Amino acid sequence: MLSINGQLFIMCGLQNPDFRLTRDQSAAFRPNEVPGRRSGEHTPERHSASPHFNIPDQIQRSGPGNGSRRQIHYPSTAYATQLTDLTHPDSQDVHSDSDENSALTQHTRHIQSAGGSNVRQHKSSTHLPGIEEPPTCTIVITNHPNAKPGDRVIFAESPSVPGIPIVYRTPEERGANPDRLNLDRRRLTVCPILEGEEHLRLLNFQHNMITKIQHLNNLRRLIFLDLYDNQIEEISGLTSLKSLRVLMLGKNRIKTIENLETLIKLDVLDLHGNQISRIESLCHLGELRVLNLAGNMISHVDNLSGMDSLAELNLRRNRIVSVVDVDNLPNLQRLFLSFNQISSFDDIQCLSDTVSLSELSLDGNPLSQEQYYKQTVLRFMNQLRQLDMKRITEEERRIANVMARKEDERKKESNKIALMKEKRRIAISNAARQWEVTQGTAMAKTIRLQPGPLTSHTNLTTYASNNSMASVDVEESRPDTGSSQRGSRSNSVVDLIDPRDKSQTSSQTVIYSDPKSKSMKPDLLANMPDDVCHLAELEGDTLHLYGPGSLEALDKNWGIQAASAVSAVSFKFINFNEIAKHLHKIRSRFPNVSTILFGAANISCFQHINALSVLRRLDNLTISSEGNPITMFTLWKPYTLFRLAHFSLRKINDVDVTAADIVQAEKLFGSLSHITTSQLPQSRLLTLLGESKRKQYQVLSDQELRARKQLASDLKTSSESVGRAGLQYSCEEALADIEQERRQRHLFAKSYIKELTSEAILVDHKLSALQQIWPRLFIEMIQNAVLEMSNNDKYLRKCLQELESNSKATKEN
Amino acid sequence: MSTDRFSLSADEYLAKHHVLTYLEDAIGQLLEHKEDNPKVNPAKFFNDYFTSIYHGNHTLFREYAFIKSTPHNRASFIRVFWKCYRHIGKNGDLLNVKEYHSLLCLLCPNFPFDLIQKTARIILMDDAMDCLMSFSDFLYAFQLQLYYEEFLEDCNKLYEKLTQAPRSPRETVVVPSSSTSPRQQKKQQPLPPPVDPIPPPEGIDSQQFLEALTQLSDVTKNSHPKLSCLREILQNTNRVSFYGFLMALAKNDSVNSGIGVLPAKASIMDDTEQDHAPMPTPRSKSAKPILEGRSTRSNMR
Repeated sequence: MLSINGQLFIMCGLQNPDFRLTRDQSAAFRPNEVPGRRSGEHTPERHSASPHFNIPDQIQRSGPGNGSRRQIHYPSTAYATQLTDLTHPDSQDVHSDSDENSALTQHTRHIQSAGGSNVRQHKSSTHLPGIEEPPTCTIVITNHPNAKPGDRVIFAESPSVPGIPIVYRTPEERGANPDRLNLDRRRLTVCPILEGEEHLRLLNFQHNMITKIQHLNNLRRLIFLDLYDNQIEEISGLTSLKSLRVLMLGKNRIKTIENLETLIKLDVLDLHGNQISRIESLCHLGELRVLNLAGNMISHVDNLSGMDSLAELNLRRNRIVSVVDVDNLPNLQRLFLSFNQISSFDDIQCLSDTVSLSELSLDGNPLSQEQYYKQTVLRFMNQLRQLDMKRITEEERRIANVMARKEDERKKESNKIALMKEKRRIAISNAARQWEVTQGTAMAKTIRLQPGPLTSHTNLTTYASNNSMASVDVEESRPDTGSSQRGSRSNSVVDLIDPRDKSQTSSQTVIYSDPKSKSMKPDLLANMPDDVCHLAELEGDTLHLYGPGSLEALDKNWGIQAASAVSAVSFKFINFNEIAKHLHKIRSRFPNVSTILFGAANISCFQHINALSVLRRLDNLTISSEGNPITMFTLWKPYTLFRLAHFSLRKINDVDVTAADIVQAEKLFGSLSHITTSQLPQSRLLTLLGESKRKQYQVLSDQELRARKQLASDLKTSSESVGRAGLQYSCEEALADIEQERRQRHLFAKSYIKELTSEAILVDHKLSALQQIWPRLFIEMIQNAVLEMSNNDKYLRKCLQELESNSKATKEN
Repeated sequence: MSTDRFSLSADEYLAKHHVLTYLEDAIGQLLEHKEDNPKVNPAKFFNDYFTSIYHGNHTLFREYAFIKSTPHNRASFIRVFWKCYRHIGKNGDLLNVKEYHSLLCLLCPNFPFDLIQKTARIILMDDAMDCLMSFSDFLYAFQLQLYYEEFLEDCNKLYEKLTQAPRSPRETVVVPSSSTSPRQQKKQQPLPPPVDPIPPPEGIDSQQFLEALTQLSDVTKNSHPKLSCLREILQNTNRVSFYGFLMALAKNDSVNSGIGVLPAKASIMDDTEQDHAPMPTPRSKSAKPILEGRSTRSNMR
């Protein structure tokens, strides 16, 4: 507190930053510029870190006769700020009210201080009632010895310009204060003509009713012009005041900022409490340091560039929703944006680029209600030292940094996820395109082949070489924590496989990310080529496979948890021939799969359905009508039910299977299995049965000699599966292999049979030849015998000779 | 018959009765079976095998080459097809070519599609591949196509020759387009059996065709319908188109009974007959003589 000439100044705890201007005003005036009399000691306890605060506020003490004083308020706490603003929506009115009510009596105001203590502010502003009616008296001498509202002046009216008062001062008065004139609260409605005051440097018209600025052209040395609390509607009549440095136009009715072009030396410009809706025409004020635009109707902050010296910008209590161009103010240190309508930090993004800013207030904005408001602000403006009138502690700064880091990570994460999604989209669309191309060529072949003989399968497989394409499998999976985490997509698994490394199982690692510290390898994503044409994705309990290359996903190690969680597999854009080769893997690797979905798989004949029988279980089967010609067939559903009867399907294409459906299917195709079981020889059946089933019936094959009937009855129990033994699916390659084997066997059989038959025929020939010559031979033999024995003696002798020779020969031996 | 037997050489005899075919197949099957069942008893296996041939159910799930190899196999396959899918016919479902093909593929994994296409052409006389066909239509046309495939090809060649050959004087000015493709002709003439007294520009003279067919049946080794049946069909009409002729053949009951595996059209859906005789003995009695009878006739030199 300080008192000057009986006036009591109270440095109360009132905190109204609108009036902070005065503080800086004081800072603007150097003692050498305004050789004011320093009659009092001002002992400010300023918390502000203003570098200019080295000067006592001589302006307040502009003269010993200064009547009404303006208050200087120093910040105490931010709470006080709020409180004051809430209790006094327009705190300026507090002053004006009191001023208007001021009688000769003392006026007391109660203002809440920060500490809640009432501080009494005494203000002895005494007006002479008579003085307040200037028109009636031609000369009024204001002379109040103790407490005067203004300087002692003489009002007169010029005969040449009627209605315009002329103000004189006595030579003594002028001599005492040649450079100041205070015309506070004189009920002036126009600017009076000032006679002989060419040396004025300070002119105060506060608290009048002036509507237009005029008659100031001769005051070329004027530095300070205060028109606070008048009724001025436009800025004008200031063009000749080239040396003006402080212009106070607060609490007027100004709508636009204009006609300031010549005031290039302006240091302080106060336009608070007007009706300005746009910031404009200020770019030339290169020396302006303080600009107060509080309490106006500005909604967008812009057009600030050029004010290179601006250190303080007050924009409180406007309607601001966005701020730009602030980063073009190289010296801005304090910025007040309290009580506006800024709702997100994006609207004031440019603040993060202002390196010089050290104080900022944003309280009273929707933005400041956010949970991490302070941290967000600090993250973007690390250089801030004060926010909302509160010094920023190191702790806060540290927290903000941590949060900033987290936020960055989160953003990176979401970028990555977005990238992954994009990659996923590309991969799927590539797979679809490749599928279409494949189908197109297949179609062309079909058409071309139609007149000629066709192979049994029209679904020709011509795949674009996907060797060159790296495969990327992006999967998202729920973590090991179990079903409670189901659906939390934040826990993701990334797996990237290069098919060229297929041999190395180590490269097919599944990277599980910890729910807490998500660490996806960014370089893996970066390596993702754009021409990926297949994708395997684990989403929830469904494994999605797009494109033929994705079938490799069935081979890799998914981990027991993830694998057993999979209950559905969906195939898209994969030819069924390819799928069929891998179906058995589902049985072993994903034991819980009960739902299979085929979209665009070119399932074109009943044999494809046969292939599904290798699965362990199947409750729901969906074969989309797009890309699967079989769905055009009338009988595909009955056949599916019949062939896959051992699964007891519940749904086909999302339609519940009824008992009637099953009966109908059995009726249509039942004879197929009946004939298989009842009419095929058992050995043939065994040949048809698959490896696993064959073992099952090995016992039966050992007892092959048993009666057929009994065997049939034994088989009857499992006839459901045996009856379908012949209904197997084998893809073209397998068929070719079988054909190859068969041909070899056939060749062998053929040569074997040929050998046998030729031998048999030869024997037959020999026999028939013998038959032909036998009668002749017999007759010859008879003839010879008869001829030999015709002479009995001769024959006897001959026989004896033979005997002798025989015995001789034996003896010799 | 007995005279036939001794007039042939041994090789001829074996070939005529496809004995070698079956013997070879039996060995092949035994080898296949033995791979998985090493303890197989060959005598029992052969017993099974030849019994099954006798009963005509040996073609089920066999490869097409085998099915095609002998008339008996073809007939058996036709019968199996009929028996397996009888209920589809009973149900009255109309199916398209692809679906029929798919059904056949269940019985014979590599059954060729073009054969079904040809069958469809007999029924539809058109290239409309997606048209639906009733089961009985398909069955008889399929029987004709499969059983007499080579004969039909020969007929087609004959027919082409006759259409391109100079006509009898009254018809020399026939529209040239008529000689392009029998299929195109049929489009203009949807009614299968052309009984028009006034000869339309398309088709050929029935008598001429019959003569040619008679000659053909004398020389061909392939099985063919009885000449009496052909005569019956062709005598009713003056002019005939190729597919009209085929259609008539397919619908002819005596042709059907000549093959002897399918019942007459009226009783095709008759379920009771099948239930009475689940074992194929009654059928095989008829099948076997036909097989022998035909082969003797067609192989006369």
